[in-house]
Amino acid sequence: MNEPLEMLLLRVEAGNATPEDLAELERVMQTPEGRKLVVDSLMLNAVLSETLATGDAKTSSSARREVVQFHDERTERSERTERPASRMTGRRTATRRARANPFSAAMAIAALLAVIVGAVVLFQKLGTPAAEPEAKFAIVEQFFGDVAEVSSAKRPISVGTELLEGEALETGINSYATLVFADSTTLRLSPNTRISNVSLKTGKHARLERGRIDAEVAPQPQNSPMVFQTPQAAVTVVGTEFSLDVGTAATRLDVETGTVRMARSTDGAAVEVASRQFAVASPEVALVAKPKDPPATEKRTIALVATADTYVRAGKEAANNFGSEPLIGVKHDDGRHERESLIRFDLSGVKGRIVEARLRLHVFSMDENSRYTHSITFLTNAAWQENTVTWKTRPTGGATLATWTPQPKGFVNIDLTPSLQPSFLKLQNWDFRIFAPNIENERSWCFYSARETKNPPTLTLTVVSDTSPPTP
Amino acid sequence: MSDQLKRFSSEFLAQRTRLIAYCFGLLQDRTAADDLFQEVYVKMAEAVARGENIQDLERWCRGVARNLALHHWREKRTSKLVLGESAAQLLDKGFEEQRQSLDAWEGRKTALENCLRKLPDESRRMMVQKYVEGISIKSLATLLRRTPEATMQALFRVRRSLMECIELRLRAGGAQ
Repeated sequence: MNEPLEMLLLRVEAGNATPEDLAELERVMQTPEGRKLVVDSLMLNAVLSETLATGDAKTSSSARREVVQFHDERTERSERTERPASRMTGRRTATRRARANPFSAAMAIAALLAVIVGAVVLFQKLGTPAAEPEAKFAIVEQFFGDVAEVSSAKRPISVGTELLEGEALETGINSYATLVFADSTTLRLSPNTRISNVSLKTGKHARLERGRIDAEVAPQPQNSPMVFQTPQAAVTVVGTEFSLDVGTAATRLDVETGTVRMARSTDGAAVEVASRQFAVASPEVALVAKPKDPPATEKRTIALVATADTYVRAGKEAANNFGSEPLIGVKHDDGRHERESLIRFDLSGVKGRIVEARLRLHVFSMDENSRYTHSITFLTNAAWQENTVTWKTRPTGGATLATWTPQPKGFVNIDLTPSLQPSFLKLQNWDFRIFAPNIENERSWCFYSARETKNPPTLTLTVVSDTSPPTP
Repeated sequence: MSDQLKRFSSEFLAQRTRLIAYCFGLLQDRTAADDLFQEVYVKMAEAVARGENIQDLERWCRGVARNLALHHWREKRTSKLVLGESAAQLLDKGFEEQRQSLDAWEGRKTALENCLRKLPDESRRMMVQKYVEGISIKSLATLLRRTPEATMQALFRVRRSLMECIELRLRAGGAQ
């Protein structure tokens, strides 16, 4: 192995390469010997990834479980214990079987490609027939309040629940749910809303029986748009942002961006509704697109980066502070290694009425086999400081705003809007506590990127301010 | 899925390791390389659906990956593109030249599995963090509380020991 070349490649990968380094790499690759060394180095990368991911428990999965316990182990190596076998529930066991058997692993890769690339991308791009009848294609990303998923038999839902072809989702009074499709199309269900017959058979299709949805529809194939059926109309969408409100006698469509076609069920009359327009389908009124009322208010979106964040640890570290770490973490296990995170946003510069609030966290690393739910609470008048707070002095309690199940690699977007309370809006600082609720016999860890990184916790606010001209 | 697509998909998956390696060479980012690999698959599926005559799938895929990386990736993604066009062509040439010898990597995998078992715990964890978790060298350095340079040196030492172990096992006449 050629040390200067290997170090050069590592510098290139780390983003530390100088123009001279890149020129040197190109010079090395001018010769067949140099090219062979580069190819071998790249092959070693790929084979290492593959072998470590599909290797047996000794080489891979135990190490994988321990990745984030690394800090713990440096100081508490002697206390570390293996997970009891009884916690190897279905998904973990299946994953282990796949890892232990290279053929299974290969099949898993094939299945992954077939499912993700085949069912989703090909379906969209090539317009091939829809997925298998029982394909899982949409998941509940968030919910708040009393939400019931209904199909032939009612079953409760949780974050991550997958809807099957033809199933329905229903929100109760004072409850909300967000349904996300594989292509990121997102439907937000308001209280007392029911969508049924959610289907992919001939393009995305759903029946809105009652209530209101706010939709962000990703671009759909031209020949198979998304269709929402209501008792009064069919609404056809290729890719846009809109809301649909169904009452007993009428359906109102409000389009934010793009164009949506609305066809009235009673006589087939149709209208194209463009950005900032609305239309009402009802036998009582003419089906026409009208401009939405000129806004008396102006909507602005403000993205705030956390001004303080840290995690705190139980056990031996309960009196220590971790405010300078570039990660914040949530961990739940036997009580000694618990972690919780605290995040603060400064809203002192925000003027106007906050109508939407979304928190975005970047999942840096996590136990991929975990299906653990995280909770976020709002801390009123919390007095913690990033560089001093410890497990022993941390604020606790607060009203639960939302729950979610983090997914490996990527962002978690938490819609806090449904649980905003008037009292929050008066506060200069918004302080959040993120933790894993106590569930017996479960252990889980997840690290989010902290404010010191390029993916800091971000709070996006939609603020409405009055822009009406002043009264003379 | 048509029979034609099934056949190409099977061949495509058989080349997964070398194609991922090539994509990584172009983008120097493991996650981005995985994404590029999937985009190449989509392009292949579209080409098959159009009835395009693909004679040499491996070469075709490398060409598509290079084209996507050079002409589209920068606009579409935030991922950095490190190699310029001439260097990317040299990389392609390297993979073409090594085509036959790349098959030998299949045999090295078993040896590698055994060699990984011999690694000290800390080194093995570092390998998992780097090559399974996909943690960047900078983040790895933070986690390990080392400088990026020291982390790169540590990575190099482990990689070198693994390569020596693999060669030793292969020379000894078996992967075990």
